[in-house]
Amino acid sequence: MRRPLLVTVGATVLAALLPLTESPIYLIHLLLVIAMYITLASAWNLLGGFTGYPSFGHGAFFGLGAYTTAILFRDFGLSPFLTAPVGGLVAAAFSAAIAYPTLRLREEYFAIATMSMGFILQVVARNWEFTGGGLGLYAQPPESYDIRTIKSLLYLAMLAVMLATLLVALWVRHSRLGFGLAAIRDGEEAAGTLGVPTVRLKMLALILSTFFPGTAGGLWAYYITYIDAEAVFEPSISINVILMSILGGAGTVLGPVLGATLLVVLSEVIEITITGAVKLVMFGAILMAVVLYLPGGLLSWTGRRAG
Amino acid sequence: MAVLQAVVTGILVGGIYAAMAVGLSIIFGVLKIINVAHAAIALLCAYVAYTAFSVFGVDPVASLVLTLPAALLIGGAMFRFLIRPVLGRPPLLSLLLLFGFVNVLEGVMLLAWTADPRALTPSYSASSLQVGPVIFSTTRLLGFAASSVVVGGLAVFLRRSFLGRAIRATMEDPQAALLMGVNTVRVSMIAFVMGVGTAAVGGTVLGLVYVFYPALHFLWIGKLFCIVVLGGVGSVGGVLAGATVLGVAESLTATFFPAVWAELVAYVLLVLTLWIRPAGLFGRLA
Repeated sequence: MRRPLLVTVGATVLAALLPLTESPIYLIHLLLVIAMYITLASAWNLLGGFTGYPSFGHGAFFGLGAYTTAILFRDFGLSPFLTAPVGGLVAAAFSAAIAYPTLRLREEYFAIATMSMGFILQVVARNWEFTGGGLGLYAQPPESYDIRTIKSLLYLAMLAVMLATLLVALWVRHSRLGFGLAAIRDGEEAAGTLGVPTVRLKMLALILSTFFPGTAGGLWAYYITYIDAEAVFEPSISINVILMSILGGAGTVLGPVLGATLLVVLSEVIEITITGAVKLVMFGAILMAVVLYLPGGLLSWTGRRAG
Repeated sequence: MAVLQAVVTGILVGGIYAAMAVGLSIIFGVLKIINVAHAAIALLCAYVAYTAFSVFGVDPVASLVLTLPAALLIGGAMFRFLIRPVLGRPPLLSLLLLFGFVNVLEGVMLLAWTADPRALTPSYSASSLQVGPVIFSTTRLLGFAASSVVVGGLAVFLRRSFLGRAIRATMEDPQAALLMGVNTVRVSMIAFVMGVGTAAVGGTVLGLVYVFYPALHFLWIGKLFCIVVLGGVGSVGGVLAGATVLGVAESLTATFFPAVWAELVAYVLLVLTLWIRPAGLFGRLA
């Protein structure tokens, strides 16, 4: 695992040097969004790809993190660089709370339950006074910094979260935990009878898989400076994250990175040149095409297995 | 009195829900596939009825002549290209395919009709019938009647006809049904297409009673999941019971709390049922 590790760290360090150059702000924005979706897709993959429990509501944990930092900023004026990990913790704690009854469910019911969780959070966020209701929440950076500095700092923080997620993914893949998760995916009952502590491993995978999206959401709230229930609890986030993961290749470390990068770039191109509605149609068509014709993702097509 | 009105409204709305949920339940029962596109197809039918009404002045109920065959056609195409390739494979595959299809449908609706809310407003849409202290809105009564025809018709069909029996046999035990000479793939196709067909009736009724917009299908599919899970899979009686429970629970919630919280009822009921009794409150243990 030495080589993937070096490549991952090296590429991230290289990307981190970008703000030092005279790069346009848009490029920083684009890379930040890519880093965010790599985080989301890789984290989803820990549970959906490695363990075989595909969550259809992973956007919910992202949204929980975003709301956590926005509320901590509103009520206590705390900086997102401190509170983003708190957002991750809140997301992980929420997932742990629902884990026991949810992880027992069969695949299709697990999908419905996770999807519903996302909707419940969205409706609550939209209507509860504490979360700003329909008005949403503002998380404005202090005026003493200029936009470029703020964006660059948040970009670096997002890269750090992405790196942490990828390192965890690499570690999981090569550890006893990873083999245990693969055993659960390939036959949970059999794994259990062979002495794999399935409940504990699933819990661990779920918590890891929700902590990083929560942290990324925490940074995102501050980056876009205003959030509401539609922006961060949008069901399409959850679907897109799955699409990214399986487009690249679910169950691999490199797959979600590849899928997230490709789809974010494609989505930017479509939204700028055509319209969001066309993006829905195209993403839907890609999702169907991948499942029907390339179920192993792009990586299986090139015949390579990374990580 | 508010409670009585809420219960009556809830029962009427529950009847409307049942028309759509019964199709979802049959599809799930026979194919073990969750048709997440069900509500989106219903919505598409509502939009077609909207255009037929606003451009050509066709009554929404009459436009079923158009939307019902359209839905059956969509169902057939979906079965051929999306469902059949993954029949009997892990449920994740069909879920992802259908979510992809939902994205396409929503995008098409956005392109064709924009995100602005629409409503079907025939002359009778604002009228109502008062019996004692209770008010029945005409569109809800009409929706309830249409749903009763669909649900009742399906119940009789499943119980009495040969094909209906084959469908129920496939639901109960596909292996045994196959051994008894049932062509289970064909039965699956018929069940799927029929199930999608109910979305046309459901969509027309939805359009008559509610304001609609392309992303609304997310809210509706949640309600339908809730009903199917409450009612237990593949049972018409269970669907009726589940739909009534949901309709009344929502209506009571909206009476005693700010109406927006009624949106939450379906999801909370759904998650709690899955946690406590995954086989459904009214269903047999599978």
